[in-house]
Amino acid sequence: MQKFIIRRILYSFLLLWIVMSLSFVLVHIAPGGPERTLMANPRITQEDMDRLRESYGLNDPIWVQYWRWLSGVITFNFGISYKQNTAVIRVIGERIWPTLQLGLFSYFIGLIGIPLGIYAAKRRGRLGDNLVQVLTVVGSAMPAWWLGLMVIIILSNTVGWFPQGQGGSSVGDWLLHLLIPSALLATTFIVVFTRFVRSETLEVLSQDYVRTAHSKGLPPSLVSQRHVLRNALIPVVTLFGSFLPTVVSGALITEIIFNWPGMGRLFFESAYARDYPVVMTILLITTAFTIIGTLLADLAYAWVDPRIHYS
Amino acid sequence: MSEIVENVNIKPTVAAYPELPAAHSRSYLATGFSRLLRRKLVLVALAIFSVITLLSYSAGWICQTIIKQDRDDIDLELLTSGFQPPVPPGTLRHLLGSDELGRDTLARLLYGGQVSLTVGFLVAAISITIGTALGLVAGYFGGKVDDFVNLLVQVILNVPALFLLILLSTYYQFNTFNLSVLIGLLAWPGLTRQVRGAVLSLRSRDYILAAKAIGVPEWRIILSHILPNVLSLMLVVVGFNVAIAIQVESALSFLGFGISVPIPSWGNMLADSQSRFTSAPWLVYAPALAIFVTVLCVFIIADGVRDAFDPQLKRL
Repeated sequence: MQKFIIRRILYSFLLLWIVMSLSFVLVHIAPGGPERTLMANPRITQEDMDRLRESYGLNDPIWVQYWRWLSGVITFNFGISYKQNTAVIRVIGERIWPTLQLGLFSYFIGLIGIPLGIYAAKRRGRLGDNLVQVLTVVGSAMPAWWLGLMVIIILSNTVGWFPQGQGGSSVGDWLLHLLIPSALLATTFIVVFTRFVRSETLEVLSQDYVRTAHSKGLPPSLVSQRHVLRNALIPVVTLFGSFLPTVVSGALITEIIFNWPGMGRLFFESAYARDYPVVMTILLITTAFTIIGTLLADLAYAWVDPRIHYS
Repeated sequence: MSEIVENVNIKPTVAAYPELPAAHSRSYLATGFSRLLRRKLVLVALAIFSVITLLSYSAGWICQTIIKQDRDDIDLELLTSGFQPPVPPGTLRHLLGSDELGRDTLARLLYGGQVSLTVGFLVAAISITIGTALGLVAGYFGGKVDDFVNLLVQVILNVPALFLLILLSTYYQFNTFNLSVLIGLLAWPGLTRQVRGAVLSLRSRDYILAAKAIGVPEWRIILSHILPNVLSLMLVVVGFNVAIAIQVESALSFLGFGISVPIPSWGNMLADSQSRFTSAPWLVYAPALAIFVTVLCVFIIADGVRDAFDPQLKRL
């Protein structure tokens, strides 16, 4: 078991290193650099631009730049933003908390999917199950961003309220502004959870030990508690691993539509302004979160399920 | 016991029945397909999807002959007749109205369908070829090959697709073809992971060992014995991949980073129209409904394939 954990963690480091190197490659094939914003200015000469590139270290041999990038990333020094001329880490730092707020809240709303999945599995084939299934299919087919647009448009036309940005005035206001984007982001979570929990519960319900429990005379509620729920919910742990990356990346479109000042919107704005350091760093952070999330999910699954025996 | 018992109800013997025809054994694939086609919902979804495909790819012909409007034609007749574009559906041969420049919505919708469907089909083609090949090889041969393929799969799966696509779109302009290829290259790892898992469990089955024992060459084992059993799994995953690919393309175009004007895509049609929702709602509903219906059909078909080929699912 120990060996498994160590190997798994080392593997994650390997993945992280590969992704960091890939992002380095991506930065360097990007057309344009820090001098791009200055190129429009006719008074900037070619030697000024060369000097600028020199100061950014862009004329050094590629392995020097690579080493500088790698050592920078490990110490969380991601360079300077082209647009705002401050450290990338500072630019991102002020935007990460809103994204996390959005993510955590929508994740909690998304947990509704678990009881929904169990409910659907218990009433398999009947109306309850069919309704839930229709809901899941519709929820995954509908472009979430369109739903968000519809909500905004309907709200602004009927109630006259346009949910934009974060509400800052009071806790109530903040909650109100947080509610709708979170609910939107939560639809993905709800759909995934419901589907997953439903299929897991169905599998457990068809097992022999459940039948034995019923035939022993155990009341249905106890059968649920002691046998069905425990076994069905073990794999749900793996879904928690996808929480981190989905929150950070799924929020992209939601933040853009609702003008939420988070990392996703920052990515969008920076991509538009061709601010490559920021864009690359957000990509790197998101990927790192995905890798860490998967790692945590694997470790948690191995810890929680006593039947798993990794050699 | 000397009495003869009369009217004893003897059940007819087996010989009294005419020869029953021998039971036909059908292959797994044939059973699966027949079960698939028995579900009405799947049939409806298949029909709708085929109609959408047919209409979209014959957009050129439809525009020339039936509605006599083309994709980029600014209809000057509208202005001369006194209408202020955007016009609602029904005015002057515009079956779905027109946008703010006077271009016919229906024509643009059909051409937009070409974009989305091409993305879907190309992604399906790429993920089937690369994904299955690598999944089969990695699962069957194991060892270093498996490790290498796994590493590749993990790296690609861990990178958030939408972010990467937005970044790449700032490097060079996307057209339908290279966007589909790119999405396809991001989609094949999902298929590889599933195929590899299935191959791993099939690899140690008795019939494979028997085939090896009688000397069947490896490539033939993979192609004739393992591949058909993985086929249904492939179809399901590819189905979901296609639906997601269409959604990704429209989201990307909506944000302004995918297909851009003048080529209409359902996503960029939505982007242009959202500010005019109150004055011209048909401009929003048409592409949104198109995306929704198409993706829904693909999902239903993929779900149906999964249920039809599941040997443990008892049908009602």
